[in-house]
Amino acid sequence: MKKLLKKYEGLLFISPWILGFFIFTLFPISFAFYIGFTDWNSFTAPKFIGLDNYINLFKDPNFLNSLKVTALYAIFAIPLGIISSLTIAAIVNVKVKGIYLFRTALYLPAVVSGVSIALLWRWILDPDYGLINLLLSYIGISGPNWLGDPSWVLPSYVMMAIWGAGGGMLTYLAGLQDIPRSLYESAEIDGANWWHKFRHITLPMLSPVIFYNLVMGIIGSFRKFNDAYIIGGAENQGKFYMVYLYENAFNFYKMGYATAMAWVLFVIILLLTLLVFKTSPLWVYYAGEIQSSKSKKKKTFEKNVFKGYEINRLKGAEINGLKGSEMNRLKGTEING
Amino acid sequence: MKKNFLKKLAAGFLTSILLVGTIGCSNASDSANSNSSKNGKVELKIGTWAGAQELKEFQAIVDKLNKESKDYHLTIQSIPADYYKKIQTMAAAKQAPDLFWLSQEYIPMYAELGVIAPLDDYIKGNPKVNLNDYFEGPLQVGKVNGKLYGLPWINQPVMLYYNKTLFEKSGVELPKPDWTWEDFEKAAKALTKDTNHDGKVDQFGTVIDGWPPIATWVWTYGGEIIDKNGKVRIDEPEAIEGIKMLNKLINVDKVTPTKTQAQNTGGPEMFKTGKVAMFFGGAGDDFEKQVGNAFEIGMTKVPHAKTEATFSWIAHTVMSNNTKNKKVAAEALVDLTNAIHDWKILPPTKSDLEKVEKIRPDKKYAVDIIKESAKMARGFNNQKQQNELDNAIWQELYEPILLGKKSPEKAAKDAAEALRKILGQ
Repeated sequence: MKKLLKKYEGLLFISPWILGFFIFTLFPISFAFYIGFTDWNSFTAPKFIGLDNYINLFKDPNFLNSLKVTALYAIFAIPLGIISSLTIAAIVNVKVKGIYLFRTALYLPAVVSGVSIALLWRWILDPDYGLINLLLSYIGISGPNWLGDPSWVLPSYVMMAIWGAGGGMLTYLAGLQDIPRSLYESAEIDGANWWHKFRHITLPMLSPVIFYNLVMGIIGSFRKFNDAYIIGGAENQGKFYMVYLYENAFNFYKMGYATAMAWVLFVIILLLTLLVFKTSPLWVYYAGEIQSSKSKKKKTFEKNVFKGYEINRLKGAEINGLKGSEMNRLKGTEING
Repeated sequence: MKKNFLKKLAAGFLTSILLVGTIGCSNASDSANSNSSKNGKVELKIGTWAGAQELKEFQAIVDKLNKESKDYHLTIQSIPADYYKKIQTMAAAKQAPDLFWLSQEYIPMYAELGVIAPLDDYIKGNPKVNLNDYFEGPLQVGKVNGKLYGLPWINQPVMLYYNKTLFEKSGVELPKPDWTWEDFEKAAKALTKDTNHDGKVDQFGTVIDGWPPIATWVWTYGGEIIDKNGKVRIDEPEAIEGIKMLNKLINVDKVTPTKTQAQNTGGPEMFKTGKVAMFFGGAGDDFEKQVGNAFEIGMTKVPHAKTEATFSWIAHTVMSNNTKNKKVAAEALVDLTNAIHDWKILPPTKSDLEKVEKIRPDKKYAVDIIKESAKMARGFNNQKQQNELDNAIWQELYEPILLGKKSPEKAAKDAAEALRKILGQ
């Protein structure tokens, strides 16, 4: 008896979380899978309609529009966001008096609530009284009707996203400070200029952070909701995927349709993320290994930030949890490096 | 030693959390179970979006009813934010309040889904309801497939507010109740100007930014968006005539600020600050109070063309299909609705219209014209998919017109097509 208890002791301790997982995660997910195949107004019993929701989705011009708006936004906002975050991080990665003040100021957008930021931007983008058009008017440019002109809606959103780049700055900054000085020093001895150093030391050393931000950026862009829901935009150009999903679920009472949309979004994000993971061996460099995919020869390099020698056997994708089996061999401390 | 103490502290903390949790839970289940309780009265919940001051006033009404009634005891369930989302969730879990408020556009859907119950059998013979006393417009929106699903407690027609001071300063004749849209247009043009001569128009005749509803023009020109039988008629000549006038005001005469301008500042704010001379507002709006002595306000009917009509904001009290004792609930619904007629303007009944002056002394100057507007006020011919229809009208018709992107004919045609698709016609 005691032995038995001992065996399940661990499970018993984590049972609240396991139960939570089953009740609040696994069950809703499987239920949602079913709902995606039904016509459900959320009041009366769901009616099974097979694949109709999925078929109708791709015939629905509003759906296709929301997909287009969201994809376009992602294409511009993610790279620009990464570039600006990285640039900001590089700029504030200097040792000057009062640099902490700047870092804090630049990080602020990530702390303030999304709703208040959205309302603030609505004013900044006002064509008549807004800050941007006021500044433009000083240099003789009559600014566009940002959110009111369909062709300027997307640029407005990309601009807002870049303004929030300070949030991403933090991870880059941490990454930058983790790069050993010795690398730069030896490069300088070899006569490298700033570009060489950036291209051949900073970028490769930061690639795991860029990789992380890219994946999070893809997920975040496709799930954009808050500010789009609040400030909208002319002619549906501000109707992002999630906004249209929400509309279907809570304004049109088409819960089955909205759930089908959620699954399509899930598949899109999954595919994109997988794509990024698949390509990661080509450009993501983890300190501690130099990978040549053809010869499959691995050399240890410098001091491994992950400490453990086992990590060398893992590729990027596995570290991030796609293959659990290998991970088990690592102890927590090693992962956290 | 120290470690031990910390352990105890943590344990105590956890226990207290657990305790608070269980107490909270038991309380919740208590109140849910007590459907009929104290002195044999039926316990009823009334769902409302009233909050803050409005809620206090409503509470006073409910308290009074509770004191008077031998049959029921009402408890208010206040949902001031996201009302329809919460009602939807509650109804899905069969936990909707016994009685609740519904704005007109939701009634057909709730009725057809069986969330709310028809009242006909329960109010028949109740001496406190006289359906003939109700105005046709507000009562009509509660009827679905020939049955009555609610009693209206408010009928707030759109009226034309104007800034008397601005009119007089510009030497323009004040709006009259018999104005046609052409008269309106003429005055609006005369009042739209650049007062500080910086090359930008800063005073506008009116403001149209998605409000008032497109029906304001379609109906007065003798058209319909969707008729009583659910047939889409927005692409018929009468409706298009109305849309043409709307388009002219916005894109030819340019008597309204742009959509972005209006929406960022807010149409009512532009009127209150004297930037807009004429504003379409609900009869009960308290501009008089808000403007104070800044300028003098006038009120009249909305202009007409072929016929007189105005859109009215109408809300009903409805009864949940899940309420246990429908007879008593319906009785409470009647009493409650009648009591609100003494509180909100405009009451949807002919006999209660006399109370407007008493309820809102600040409207005394316009009582006669308000009464006249009440007679021609109506709601939409709401459909089950009303939210989706409204969305399509905005997307295919109203917004493109506001932005000058479509001709009235094209907008009407596109909108009709979208509406038919939603309705499966």
